[in-house]
Amino acid sequence: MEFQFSPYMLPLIGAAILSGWIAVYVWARRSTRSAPALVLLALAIMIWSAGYALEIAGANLTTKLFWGKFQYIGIATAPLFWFIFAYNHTSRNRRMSHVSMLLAAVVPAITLVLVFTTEFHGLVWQEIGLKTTDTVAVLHVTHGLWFWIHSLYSYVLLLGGKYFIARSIEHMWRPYRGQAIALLVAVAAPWIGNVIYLAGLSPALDPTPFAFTISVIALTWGIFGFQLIDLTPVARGMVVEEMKEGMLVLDRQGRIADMNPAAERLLALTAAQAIGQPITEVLRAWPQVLDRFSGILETVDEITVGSGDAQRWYEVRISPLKDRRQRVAGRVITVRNITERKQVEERLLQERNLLRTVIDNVPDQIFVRDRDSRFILSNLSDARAMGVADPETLTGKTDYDFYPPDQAAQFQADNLAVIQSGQPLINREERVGADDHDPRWVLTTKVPLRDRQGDTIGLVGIARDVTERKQTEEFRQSFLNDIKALQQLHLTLSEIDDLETLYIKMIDLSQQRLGLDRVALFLLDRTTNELQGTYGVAPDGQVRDERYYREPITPDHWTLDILNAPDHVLLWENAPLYDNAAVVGTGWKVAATLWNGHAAVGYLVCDNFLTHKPARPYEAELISLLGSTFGHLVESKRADEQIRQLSRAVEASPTSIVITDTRGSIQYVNPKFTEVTGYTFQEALGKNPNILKSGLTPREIHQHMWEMIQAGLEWHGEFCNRKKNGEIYWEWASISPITDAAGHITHYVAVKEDITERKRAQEELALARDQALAASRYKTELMAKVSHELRTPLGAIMGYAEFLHKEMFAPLTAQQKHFTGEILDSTSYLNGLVNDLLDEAQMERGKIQIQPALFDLRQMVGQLTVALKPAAQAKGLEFSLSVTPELPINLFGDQKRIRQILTNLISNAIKFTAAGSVTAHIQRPDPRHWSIQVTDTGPGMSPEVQARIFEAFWQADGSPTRQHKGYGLGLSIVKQLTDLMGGEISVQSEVDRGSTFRVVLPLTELAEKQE
Amino acid sequence: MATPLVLIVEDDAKLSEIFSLTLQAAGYQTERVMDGAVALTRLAEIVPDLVVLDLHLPNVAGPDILQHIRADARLAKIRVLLVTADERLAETLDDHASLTLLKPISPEQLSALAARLLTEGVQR
Repeated sequence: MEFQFSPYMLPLIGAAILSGWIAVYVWARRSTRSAPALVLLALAIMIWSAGYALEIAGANLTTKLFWGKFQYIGIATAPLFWFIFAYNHTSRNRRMSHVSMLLAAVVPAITLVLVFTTEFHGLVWQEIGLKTTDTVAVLHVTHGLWFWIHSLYSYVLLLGGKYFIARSIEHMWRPYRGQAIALLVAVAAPWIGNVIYLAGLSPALDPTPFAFTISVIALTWGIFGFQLIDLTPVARGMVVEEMKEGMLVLDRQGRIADMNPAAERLLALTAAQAIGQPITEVLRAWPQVLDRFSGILETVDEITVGSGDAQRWYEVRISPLKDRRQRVAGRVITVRNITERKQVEERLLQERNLLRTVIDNVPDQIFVRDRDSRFILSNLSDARAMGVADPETLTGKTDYDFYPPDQAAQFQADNLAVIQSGQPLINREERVGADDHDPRWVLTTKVPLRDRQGDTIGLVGIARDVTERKQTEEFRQSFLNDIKALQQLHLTLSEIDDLETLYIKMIDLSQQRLGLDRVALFLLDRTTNELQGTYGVAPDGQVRDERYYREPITPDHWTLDILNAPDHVLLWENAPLYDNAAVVGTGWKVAATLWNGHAAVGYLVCDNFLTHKPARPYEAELISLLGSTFGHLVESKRADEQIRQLSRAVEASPTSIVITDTRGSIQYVNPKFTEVTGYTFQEALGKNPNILKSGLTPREIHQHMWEMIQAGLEWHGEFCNRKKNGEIYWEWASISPITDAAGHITHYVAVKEDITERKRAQEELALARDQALAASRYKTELMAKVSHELRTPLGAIMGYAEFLHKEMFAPLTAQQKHFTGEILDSTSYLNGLVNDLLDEAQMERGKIQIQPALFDLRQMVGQLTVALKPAAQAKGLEFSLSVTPELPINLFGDQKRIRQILTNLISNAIKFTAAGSVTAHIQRPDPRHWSIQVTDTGPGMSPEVQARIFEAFWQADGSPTRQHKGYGLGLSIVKQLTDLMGGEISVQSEVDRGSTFRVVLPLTELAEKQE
Repeated sequence: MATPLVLIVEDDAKLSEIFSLTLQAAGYQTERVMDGAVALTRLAEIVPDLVVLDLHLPNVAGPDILQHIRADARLAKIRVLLVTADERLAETLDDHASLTLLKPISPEQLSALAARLLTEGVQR
């Protein structure tokens, strides 16, 4: 490269240096939004100026051409950076976007490319040559198409930049006007230079770089003079323009000097209309403002305009405006719309009230205490809890002013602990108040109250009255305890088997476990319908024996009220309390039936005589439950007792008892079973009763037995069984099914008796009986035979003897006569004996049958008189046999047997009577009977003898040497015949006073018979 | 009235003699038969007023003779006095006999009853 010197270089180098300095200066203060673009602009101008200087200095075309191209780096970019600077500098809050900047950089970039390649296409420069002027040679070019495009584009950018700057000047606050002028100069300079260049007025040099240098200088002046970079030039203006407060500037005469758009909107006037007008005119609509602020230089106040929703609040601030010599040049009035703030304040106030209302109406106590636990704030609930109406009056008080000292001390300690530790106290249950009978409970939470710095300055507390919950909880607990106690009581009592102990324990445990006071138990005796006392608590609190008490339950008995009470319980409040029917106090009383599930077995009654405790809310239900528990227990224990008795009976039973299940497996045998069979309970258990089978009982019997019992029937019968030791025995068994409540057979029970001995005895008896029967039969037959065979010779003896005795054929000597008489007497006796023996034999065989028929009683009596009189006369006895006329002629009866009765009775009487009479009467003691009465004057009989005279073969003296003839069968036969005829025989006799036999027979008259 | 005729049918000779002597003493005409068959033969020839009839007889038994008497109209008026030691057999014939006497029979009793039968006209 070759260079030459030219004086034109100097201003260019100066411009380049200046531009470079500006770039450094601005870079150092680049925090401003527009600074980077200004730095770049300054650098572009520096390159342009330096390049231009070097182009001029170039000594040949090549050198000049290189620098000519180089300076285009500045030429092409300077307008772009200018435009960006102007935009960023003047536009508020915004920077040009990167996309926009890239787009704007497209043309300069093409320009640069085309410049460096212009030799090939000539789009920028067409002809390139040196033009030598007087002193220097300069590069001379003709411009191609792109040069003009570039130029046009550059002008557009310059123009745009100017527009932004110029527009911003309008909004500039007065003090910044100088800055605006500097900017305008900076804008204008390139234009002028360019115009000169393009118009060819330039003396060989392009003035544009100089013009830009001037621009840069102007900008620099702006920087120095008006802090172009440091302070946003438009900011103040913008602030005023944009601020929400209306601002009016008044001159000394009170005329509007300036006003901002907010003021325009406020007053509904444009600045153009208002400026120059007196304030009194402008504010005619706001007379109160004028009145209040006329002549005031400096003040701050609030005013309201309108009402209701349209009401607005304004803050009016008036400040004096002074000139440099501190003279008042006018006033600045700012009017701020504070409606919103006011509304917020109003809302806050409302919220405060709302909060207070809420706090006061919360049922919980809410309170705030200071560091010393003194009241600061309380809500109404808290005030009420302290016993005051107005929460304000609490301020400054302490817990000691309201609570008993011990409680207050506790609260104070808690509060201070919270404040000192900073730890909250959460949900503490506390008892408050002095009333022991009506304790109040609160649930308290206390949290520390801190200031902004986090230091504890007191506490906030909430206390909730949980008395009701507490009472509910206590109720629940007491209820649970009572239910548990009842359960335990039931378990304990269940283990008691002895009924008397049970009754005592029932009372004892009711007192101990359920807290009952006086308790008494009464039972019902259903068999006698009586009330039966057991045990009860006396007024002195001691359990006493009341078993002596028994009382019938009459239909109007007061007990029936209890026994028939709905739900089995009755409760009396404020009732007279009794002891042994005497009133001993007043209180509540509960009576509940001892309910066994089906019926009342008694009742229990309890009261509060001893303790005066109030009744539990569920007292009646509890005691009803207790009654039911007792009832079931009593029932169950009685049943147990009964079962034990039955069990003992079964155990001690003299008969074997075997219980099997339905399959025949033995479940139980009693000791007698073991005794009989030899099998122990253990051995028999689970076995089948067929272990006893001997094989001697016919199979059919077992089959029949099973059929019967499986059909639900009872079976009776005999088994021939085998004992464990092999011995055979007989038993009589009664086997029956046991059914459950549903009627299903669950078991079989066999009750068995060892009848081996009895059976043997029976067999022996049967044998004996058979033998006896055979003997009897033989005897009877023998008797019949004998008597028959005896009669014939007897007849002969009697006949011949009588011939002799009656001296029919020859007279007898007295002695002979006596002998024949004896023969006849003996024959007669023998004949009677034969007859009686025969009768007795027939009686024994039951052969005698009564064959009733109609007969003439009087005819029979006539025959008998003929037959019997001789014997009486022979003994010198008076004899009569009479029939009452009350009896009909014909009687219905067995004539032969009646005759036999008469004959026997009369013969007997004659036989036993030594002297006196024998009198027989046939009478009719009543219409349905007739009687035979035979009275003698014989020796009579003792009662012992009377008791035996109707036995066979028995005679009164019972001695072997008989004083009286007789065979002991007569009366026996009479008695048996009388019985057969449905009659009765009796005897009336005393020793030495004779005897009277009386036979009463039923009377059947002919007339009746004929019917 | 002619002397009444009494036919005594009795196989025991002693009793037969006693009955005969007793009744003769009482003034009756008597005829004695010791055999049942003979009795029937005699009854075909004569009609006695009274028959004293024993029940146990050889060849033809007493009840058959009684039945024979009661079945024959010619013999219908005959009174029959049964004399027997067999009470049971006598009872079965009670209805057909005029009177039954159980052995042993006293002569006094026999004469008294025979007299009643023949004079009082005890008739079946």
